[in-house]
Amino acid sequence: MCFKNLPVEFDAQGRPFLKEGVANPYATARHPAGNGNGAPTLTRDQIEDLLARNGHIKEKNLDPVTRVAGALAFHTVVDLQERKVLDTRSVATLFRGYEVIMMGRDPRDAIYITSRACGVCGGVHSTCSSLATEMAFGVRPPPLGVVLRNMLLALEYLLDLPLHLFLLAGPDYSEAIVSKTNPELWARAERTDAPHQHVHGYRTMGDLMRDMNALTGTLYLEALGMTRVAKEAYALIGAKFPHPQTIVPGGISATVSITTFNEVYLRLQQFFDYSKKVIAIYDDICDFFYDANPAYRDTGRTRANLIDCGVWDDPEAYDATYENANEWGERRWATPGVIVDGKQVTTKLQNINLGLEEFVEHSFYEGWDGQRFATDPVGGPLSPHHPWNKETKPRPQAPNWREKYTWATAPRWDRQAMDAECTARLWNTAVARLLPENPYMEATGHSLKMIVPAGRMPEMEFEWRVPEVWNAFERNRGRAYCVAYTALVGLLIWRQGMDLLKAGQTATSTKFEIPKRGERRGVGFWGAGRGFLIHHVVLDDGAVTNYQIITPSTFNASPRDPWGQPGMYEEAVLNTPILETSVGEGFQGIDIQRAIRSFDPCMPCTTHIHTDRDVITREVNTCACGTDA
Amino acid sequence: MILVAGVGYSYLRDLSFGPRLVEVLRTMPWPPDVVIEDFSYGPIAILHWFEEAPGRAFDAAILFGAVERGREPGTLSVYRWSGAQRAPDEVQARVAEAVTGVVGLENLLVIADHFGALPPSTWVVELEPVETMWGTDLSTVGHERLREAVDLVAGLVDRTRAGRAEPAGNPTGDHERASAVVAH
Repeated sequence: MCFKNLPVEFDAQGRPFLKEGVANPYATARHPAGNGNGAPTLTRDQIEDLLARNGHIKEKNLDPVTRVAGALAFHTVVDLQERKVLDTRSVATLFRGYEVIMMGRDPRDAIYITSRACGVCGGVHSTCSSLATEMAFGVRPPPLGVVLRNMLLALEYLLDLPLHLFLLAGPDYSEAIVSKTNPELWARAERTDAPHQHVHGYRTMGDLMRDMNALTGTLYLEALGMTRVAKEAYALIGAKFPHPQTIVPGGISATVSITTFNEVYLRLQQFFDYSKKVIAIYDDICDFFYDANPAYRDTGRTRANLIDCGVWDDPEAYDATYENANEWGERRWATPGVIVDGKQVTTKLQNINLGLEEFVEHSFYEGWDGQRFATDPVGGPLSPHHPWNKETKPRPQAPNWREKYTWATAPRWDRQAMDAECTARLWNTAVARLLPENPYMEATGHSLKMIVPAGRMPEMEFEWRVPEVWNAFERNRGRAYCVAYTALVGLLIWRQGMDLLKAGQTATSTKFEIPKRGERRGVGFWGAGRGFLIHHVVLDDGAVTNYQIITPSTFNASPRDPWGQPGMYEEAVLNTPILETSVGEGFQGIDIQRAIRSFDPCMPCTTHIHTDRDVITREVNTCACGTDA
Repeated sequence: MILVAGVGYSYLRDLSFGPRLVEVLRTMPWPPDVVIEDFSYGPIAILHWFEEAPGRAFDAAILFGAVERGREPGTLSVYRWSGAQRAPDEVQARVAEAVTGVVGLENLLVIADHFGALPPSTWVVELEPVETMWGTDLSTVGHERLREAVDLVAGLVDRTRAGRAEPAGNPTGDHERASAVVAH
């Protein structure tokens, strides 16, 4: 059964319909079934009472959360005696305004405007926007156009993943941090042999963790260099980065040749050896922490609810229609899917779309009345809270933990919080076993096997396995494996492109016209380096009348929903034990930070950077310490 | 070789001082050893540019842009960069900002300085912005400072080429205490 909470059933042909006899089917009065958050939650009154009565219960506010993209604050209440977190609130401190900016515009503008939502992964927004608009226009790109978009995506991931693994989250596992927060762990690291020395070259875990130090560590500096390699390759097709100039509805406007492909390959192949090292490093990091203290398995632990649209289209299957989205979606190099409590419940893009709702009960927005669309373009029932029906109505106000406290909204799928980060890509692909035939990767149903070609290092085989527990360490491990996965997909895409060029199929885009009359809808099913990405657009007489963006961090950074269920950051931190031993004045909150950073937060994507009055061009800190209870 | 480069976002009135000044300077004749660049992009990419050709070829640089430091709005400051001397945590924070999309003169200076990538002689020209809202044009004061900055940069180029770029005052990197030239 795909949906457990939404009033949607399927007929014998698999077509969804609205369950009959349900009065007010999308009302929020009924608490979703089986939708516990896996973490104990207390009411705000209970929290206030505990704070007043116990000296060892403290508020710990991280404002801003550093080493993440953009402005995120995080409020916690911590029991330092019991070493557990009692309450959490994720606070996006800046307003998301791109939906408002897009209203009334020429739909082609979306490619360039939504790209500015993020300074790291602008290209994924450009492409996602082109997918949504070309669906609305009814234009199908030529095969090489699809291949080039795929290649741009792979290159963007190869920039994003090292950035997370070694520049943002990586320092959390470095000598500089661990020696302060857990001196006993650092002492253990110095005397523990690194199991994968033969791959990454570090004799002890101490050696490895020392090279993860920010600014001075070799791994940190190497990652800075690898981001450059990926950017250079990206610019060969996209013209520039992070805001490409060659993305258009119906393909890519760049002219490419075999020389272009060769220059891309020179850079892409550098990630083969790099990925081997990265996997070995993160396997050793994860296992070292687990061995040192099994309680680290609870750091950032959440239920295994994961969502992903899949990415990297089959150039022969993709036709840009909503009608065939289930079919072309399942032909992607990364299979779309939703996993609930560790079980995959769908791989159909239309079901992913039907299950989406966005709530604003705890966000600085007004709700909206009415429902323009009762169904999707093929008759599947839609919620009034679905993005195609959503209206963005910002209402700035003072934060209040009981009511509204963030600019992030609360997206839910089947009324459940979802982890939308990038390991969902691996997980869905591994268990669905729909991966197209290829010489490098095999989805086994419980793992993804990968053969990474020889470079200076020999050919190596890796296997990412569905983890037993879903936590901060496994998110990072998954990202490390995603480097190899992405590089291999990049190689497959490269071969497809070369074959097309050799066959003389050099067209990269299809001419289109903007439909000037009537209503059109489109949806871009795509993914950022961080994970899930979806753009919804509505056109009336050729102009944008609704534009909605849900990013991975919109899901992950979400506040409580109408039923009081926490968002993913909030849930992950609630489950996190305080294992830091420098409790007291030197308390860093490193366990909390590891939990949050493991999602690779990107707040510009989540909230974007625009206010009613002006534009924020740097990080702005809005202390939540004085928030009304 | 002398690098003359501006940093800033577009369409943010006085905050766009850097790229606006680049536009003006590019319309002027310059000696062959002077290169005008728009550095309004990622500081890490610029760091990489400095670390390789042609970036390594420069003996001197004049970098400019708008920076909000709480000075009197409209203040135009020029100082010789003598090292950021920032705590590692702050440098790390700047790198984290840079890799996640923040473009800024201060970030560029701190990061490039940390990695030893700035030319041996680096001068900085900063405007304390008056208007920071959306908009395509500078403020009235911003326009005045733009004209003054053109002369200022030209003078710095002349003095650098003549090997006498040290100002009469204290050539310190501490912009708050000892700006060599201040217009207001």
